[in-house]
Amino acid sequence: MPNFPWPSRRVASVTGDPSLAALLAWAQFPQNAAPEMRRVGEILAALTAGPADDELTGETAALAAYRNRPGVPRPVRGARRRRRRPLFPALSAKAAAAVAAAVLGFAALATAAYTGVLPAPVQRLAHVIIGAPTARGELTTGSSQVSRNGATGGNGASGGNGASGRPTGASPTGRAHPSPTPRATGQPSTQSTPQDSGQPSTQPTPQDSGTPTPTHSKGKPTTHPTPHGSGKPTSHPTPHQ
Amino acid sequence: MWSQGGEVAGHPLRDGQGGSVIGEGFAAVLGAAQQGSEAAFSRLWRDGNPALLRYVRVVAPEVAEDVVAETWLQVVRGLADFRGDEQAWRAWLFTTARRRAIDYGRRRARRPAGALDEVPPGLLPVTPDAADLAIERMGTRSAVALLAGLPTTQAEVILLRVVAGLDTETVAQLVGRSPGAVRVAAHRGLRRLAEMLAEAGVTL
Repeated sequence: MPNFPWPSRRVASVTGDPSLAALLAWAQFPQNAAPEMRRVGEILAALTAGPADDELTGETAALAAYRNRPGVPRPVRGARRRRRRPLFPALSAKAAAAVAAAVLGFAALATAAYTGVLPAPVQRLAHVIIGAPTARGELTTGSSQVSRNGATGGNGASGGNGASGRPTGASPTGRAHPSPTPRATGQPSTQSTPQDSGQPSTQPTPQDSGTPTPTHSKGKPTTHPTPHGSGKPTSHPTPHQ
Repeated sequence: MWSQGGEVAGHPLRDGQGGSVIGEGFAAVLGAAQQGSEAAFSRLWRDGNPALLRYVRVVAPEVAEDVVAETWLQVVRGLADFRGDEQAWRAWLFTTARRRAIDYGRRRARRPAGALDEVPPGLLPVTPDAADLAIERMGTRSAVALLAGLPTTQAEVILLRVVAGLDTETVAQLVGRSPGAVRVAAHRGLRRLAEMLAEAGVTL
């Protein structure tokens, strides 16, 4: 059935009652309204009365939902929490990471410089900047550096064999003391071994340590036989230089 | 309530200006609520919740509280995006409540219906007897229960016109009927109420 814009006759008969229209429009109620219509008016008034207690019990839950809704700015309540100020506010995280990396790199470089493992030019530079040891074999001014070989200069001037480029007459090991006789094994030999035939003994003597060492000294080996090279043992070491 | 001249007392919740309740201050209250004012939202809630409950207790009495609670959840979610005057606000409230009630009805229809004796007594619809109607002043609960005795469409239209304060055109859009049909349903409902009171022998 089409919905005509004007009310049908049936609708007019129903809605023609001024009492009903007045009730719905909440206008003044006509004085001649039927009593039952007045009662209906009272019912409608009760429907629109103020809130009863049980009609306001859900407010807490509604407010909780309102507070927790997303994307709505909430008014600031109470004291603001103090923000911890950064120690270096100018430094961003990236800058701080870069600084830390630079510090670590410098520390590694300094460690390498002090252990002398850097290339010579870099080592020289490190020596100038941070006072690291010089490169291997280089003289240092005003410093008594121990050479890599660990030799302590007997005259206090040299740092080792060839350190200054001048022959010092020291042994290859850097020892400046005269080399002992071939028979010397570190201890002055005052006893002759039974097997000793006067020849330079190559056998370890009882006084020797467990490791076999040549009877000649640790210094320069001598090529000159001892005067007593005929085989007769001697108790006196032949001075040899 | 009735004066000597038979004039109807003023609407307790209305200011007599087209069904508005908060009135001229509505825009400010709404704006404040949208900006995060709990006091403003509380004002909107206190204005709308009683009317919502009375409406839903007629259209979905067993689940009225749940429907109204879900209605406010949805309103809260859409609050920031709402634009309109108080009439539009109330229309939105009751449209949301009506849809929630329909959803509950569909869910109940899918589930097997329980016996009435399984329903808590507080949720059973109560029709006031004639003695109550005669002796005591009609309370809100009794009025709601009386209205629940009408056919659903008539009761719904009367509630939306009177309790929600919506005009005929808005009610027509809400219930999906023509304005003429809404007027007819409202008048028939009121006439039926009068007949029910007359049958109960209630006289002033």
